[in-house]
Amino acid sequence: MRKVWDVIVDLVYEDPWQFVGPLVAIALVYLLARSVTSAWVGLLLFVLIGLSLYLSLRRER
Amino acid sequence: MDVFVVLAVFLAASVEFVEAFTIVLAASTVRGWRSPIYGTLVALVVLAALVAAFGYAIVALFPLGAFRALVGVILLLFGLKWLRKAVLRATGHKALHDESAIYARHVESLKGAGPSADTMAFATSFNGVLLEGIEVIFIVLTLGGNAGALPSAILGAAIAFVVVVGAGIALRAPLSRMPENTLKWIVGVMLTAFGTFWAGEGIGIHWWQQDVSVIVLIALYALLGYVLQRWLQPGSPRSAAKEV
Repeated sequence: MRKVWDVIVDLVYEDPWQFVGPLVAIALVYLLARSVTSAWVGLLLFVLIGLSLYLSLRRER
Repeated sequence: MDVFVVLAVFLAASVEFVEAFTIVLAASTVRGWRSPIYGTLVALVVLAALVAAFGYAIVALFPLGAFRALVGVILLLFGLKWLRKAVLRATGHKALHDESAIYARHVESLKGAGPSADTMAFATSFNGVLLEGIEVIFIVLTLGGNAGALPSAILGAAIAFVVVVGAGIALRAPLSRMPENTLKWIVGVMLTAFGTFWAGEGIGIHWWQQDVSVIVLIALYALLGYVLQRWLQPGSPRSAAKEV
């Protein structure tokens, strides 16, 4: 259990965008998916996660 | 013997086994076989215990949606971490081999009493096999149960298992000859795509053509990884403008 926690701390410490970004994306899409059944919602999830990855990598430039 | 049930379960279970085996193969290619195999075996024991305890009731009792979301989020976070590191290594923003970190990890593993299980590889395989195993159990029980041909459904799933595992083992050799960072890049893309798909299913997204969307997601994340890698490349136009 301690090792799993270490991995989570490592993820947050290393770069918050790669940890918080996808969770926020999933939370937003979850709220949207409750009322919209379109397959485009899936594409939106990809776009938001991709944006998290972009923001995470932008810190390294 | 109901041939149609055998065929239907074979096709449906093959999709799930391919997904599970891809995860295990990905984790083992990057991190070695031991931890992913442990994760797989523990997941199989949990699956057997669940079936023994609940039998048919598992279909009604198991919260599959919530479980998919949980496993999806975990795989997504692991996948993004690997993809990010692989992109950074490929563009020279991170060293290809961090010797001091490798040394520290070896020392840490030697301090442990038992075998040094790689937590991430174990958790990735365990989650993937458990989720897909549950889905195979659902397929076997619902298709086999509804048709009154449970033995045929079990046979279909067993054939699918042997075919997928056989194909996967054959793939292991060519994969092991690829450069390490390229493999990590591919594994990052695969885990991120599977994680997105399962997390999406768990929160109620209706994916286009269901499981076919995984292939689309793999292609999209590969494209995104490639574009971001070009953008991060030291010689890219934006970097050059910044240096001037």
